[in-house]
Amino acid sequence: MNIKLRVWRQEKPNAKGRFVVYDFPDADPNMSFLEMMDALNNRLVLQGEEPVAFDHDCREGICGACSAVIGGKPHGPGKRITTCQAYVRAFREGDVITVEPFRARAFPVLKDLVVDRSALDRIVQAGGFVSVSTGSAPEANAIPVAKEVSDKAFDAAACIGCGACVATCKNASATLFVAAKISHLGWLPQGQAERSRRALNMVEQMGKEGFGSCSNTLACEAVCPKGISATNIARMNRDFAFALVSRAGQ
Amino acid sequence: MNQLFFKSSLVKKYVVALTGVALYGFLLIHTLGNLQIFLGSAAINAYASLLKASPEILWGFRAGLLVMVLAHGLCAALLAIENRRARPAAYERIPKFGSTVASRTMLGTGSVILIFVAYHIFHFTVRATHPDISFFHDSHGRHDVYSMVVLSFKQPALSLFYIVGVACVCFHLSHGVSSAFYSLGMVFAGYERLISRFALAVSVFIFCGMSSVPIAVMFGILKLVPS
Ligand code: HEM
Ligand code: FES
Repeated sequence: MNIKLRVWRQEKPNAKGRFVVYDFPDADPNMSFLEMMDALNNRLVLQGEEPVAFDHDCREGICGACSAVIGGKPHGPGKRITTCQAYVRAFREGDVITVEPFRARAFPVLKDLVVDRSALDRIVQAGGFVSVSTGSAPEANAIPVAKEVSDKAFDAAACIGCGACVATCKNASATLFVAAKISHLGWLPQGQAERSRRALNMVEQMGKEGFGSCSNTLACEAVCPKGISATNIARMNRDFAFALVSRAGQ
Repeated sequence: MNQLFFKSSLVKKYVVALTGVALYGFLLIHTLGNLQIFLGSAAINAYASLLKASPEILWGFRAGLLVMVLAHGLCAALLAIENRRARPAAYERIPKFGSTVASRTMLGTGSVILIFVAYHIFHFTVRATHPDISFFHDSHGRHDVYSMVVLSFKQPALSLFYIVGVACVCFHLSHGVSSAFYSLGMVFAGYERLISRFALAVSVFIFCGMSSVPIAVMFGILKLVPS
């Protein structure tokens, strides 16, 4: 396949970046998108040029390390995939594919396509601890959890923290991420003791990190590689309101 | 009150959603009220004079609406500023995947609504834009709202302006109503479709109800009756 890649090149944080076009006259349709990037980097190294920096780790869609907005969609064409699960065959002969870093004030570009997503980690840290009894392992059925509830908690917990929701949101809002993180503990009995505090602190941290607010466009839900439901956003809004009221009453 | 209350974008969203829903409720009543024009001049004139029967209630209502519009517009504007700041470097190719046009243009449609409503108030409430046709009285001595409306909408440009204005309001609402469900935490798994269809249905209803009046005048269905 004949493909052109228009890749964002930026030497370091705050440097001025630009797009550079790389030709791929013989791209193998069965390569993954990242293998194409590897091939590009091999070529660049052989030519004595600086390879394109991009994030990746597991390359099987579970770690959340890979990123980039590919052809106008975070993680490239296809539903419920991460960048490492995008294939060259998803593009068409002659396509010029624009590859940009995730763009948000809270995600500063470090180099080329690599952005600093530690704002998401700080939000999780702000969520704090969960009180559990320590000591010997608890009996498996000591705390009953209904199947529907554990399914919902699990669906929320499937968030891999890749930041695609932020990348696609017109407001660069991390609401879907935060909502998933609040919900996955909020559904479970073990998460009840700190439920209010967690909602207040995580929402507060989200504001401090410079993310935008939620306009409920639901673009986040559509690009989320794990299909995290936007009903978690409604749930977060509910939890936060109850938490504000209960704190005001204290 | 604590800092989080004033600083949080979620609190501003609650304000935008609550005032938006209240304004939407007003709009629904307004639409039903307007439709009485199809019952004839006596009906609409009687309804209009009923609304103005008590100055206390009238001005109380007007003050409430004003406060809601101001709170809604102010919080929406503050959110829009925050949102713009959240992405200083723009994408070359803006990702639009999965969102509707209505949801991406709320500030634009909202701003048009502001202009439209301001004109509307000067037109039919203050009666400053068309004084020549706005001050007639019917045989009961009531303000003749019927002739004011019919004579206004006989002007195609004015009718078109109203239809476009109302279309903007309804476009705003087609996202706004479902968005408010999310902002107020009232969306549960399995009901997402129902909520977006409900939002669409109310928007279409308001659009049809509101625009039917200028359309009926332009097509001669509503015309002046000698009183
Ligand atoms: C005064 C002019 C107006 C402006 C500038 C305006 C602006 C906006 C904006 C920017 C939003 C989106 C907020 C966000 O996405 O974060 C919004 C939401 C909304 N607006 Fe308006 N609007 C106006 C008038 C109205 C009117 C007259 C109604 C009702 C008839 C209305 C109903 C709504 C509703 C229900 C929402 C959804 C609330 C939510 O997102 O949770 N708006 N408005
Ligand atoms: S590299 Fe792990 S999810 Fe893509």
